Amino acid sequence: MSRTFRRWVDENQDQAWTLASYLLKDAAEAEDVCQEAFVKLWRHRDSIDPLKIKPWLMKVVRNGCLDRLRRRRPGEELLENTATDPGRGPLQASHQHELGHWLRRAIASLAEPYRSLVVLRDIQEHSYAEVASVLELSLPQVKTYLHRARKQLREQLAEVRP
Amino acid sequence: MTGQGPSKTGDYEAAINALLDGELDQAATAELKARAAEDSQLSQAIIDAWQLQRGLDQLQLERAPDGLGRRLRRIPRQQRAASRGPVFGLPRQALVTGALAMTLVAGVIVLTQPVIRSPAAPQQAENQSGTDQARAEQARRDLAIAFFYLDKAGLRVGQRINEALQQEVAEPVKDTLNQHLPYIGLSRKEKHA
Repeated sequence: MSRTFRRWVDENQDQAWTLASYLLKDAAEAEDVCQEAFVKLWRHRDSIDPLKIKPWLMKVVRNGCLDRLRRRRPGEELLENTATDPGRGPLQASHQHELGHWLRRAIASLAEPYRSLVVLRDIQEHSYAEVASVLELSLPQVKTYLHRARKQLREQLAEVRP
Repeated sequence: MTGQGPSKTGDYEAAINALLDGELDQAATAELKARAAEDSQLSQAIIDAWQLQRGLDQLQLERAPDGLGRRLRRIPRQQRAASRGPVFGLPRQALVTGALAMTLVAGVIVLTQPVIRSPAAPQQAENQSGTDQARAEQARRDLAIAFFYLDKAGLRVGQRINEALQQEVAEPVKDTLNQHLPYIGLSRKEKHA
């Protein structure tokens, strides 16, 4: 079983980490949430369908992140990532690195569930059905919310367009 | 996505997203393109959506820190250890008793073993053998006496417990104050009397 668990870790740790770090914007907290999620995975390993490990894990990670966000005091969001910097837009950025950095900040400024949706669908490339399962939403809701999230990002992009 | 397209730019939102997701069929794509040629707002919306999608495609999964990976791989071992509880699942008292018993047995074995001498000094060994045998004999006697006293002490304690229990059962609540308060001597009035 340990070998199987190791495989699960290898296959899912980056996705769990990406989701947690986008949602929490704090490396230490993101690590803790990931560890808690994998401990839960170990404890419930016999009752989880092996084919649904990834969505199950993403759901646990997201719920862990939301719990921590709720416990934070209002306005405790980390200042570095709260909003995009209109002075340095992606189109002024000459390097891919800066475009990526701008987009990461733009995604981090989205509210829930838009942020999770963009991370799960556009970065991690889960199917709509998997995203619906993780977020406990219907398929039409996922599509509608994702449209809104992308539209918000597009509007931010338009604001900084020269 | 098929059928008649919406009339306003805002209503094309679903079509634009379907286009980005690769879910828009050829007919609907052609219709969207035709509309975009006439509507500059829609055209700009599609361009922005493409730019955004290109940027999102470039965002890779972030690699989990090495330390986290190590922590995650240790989880099965840690969880197994935590579920076992104390060493081998035995209560601490049993472990202490077992350790004491082992020590006692080891002591007895050591005392009862004949001393082995190196063959390099047979003369000295012969001289020493008488003394060693005498010592071993003495140790055995001491051990036997120690066990005898231990047995005796155990019997006495057992007898006392039995007596105390019998007395308590025979005289359940009789003059408990006198029994339990220590005697502190006669009072001054009692002495004068």
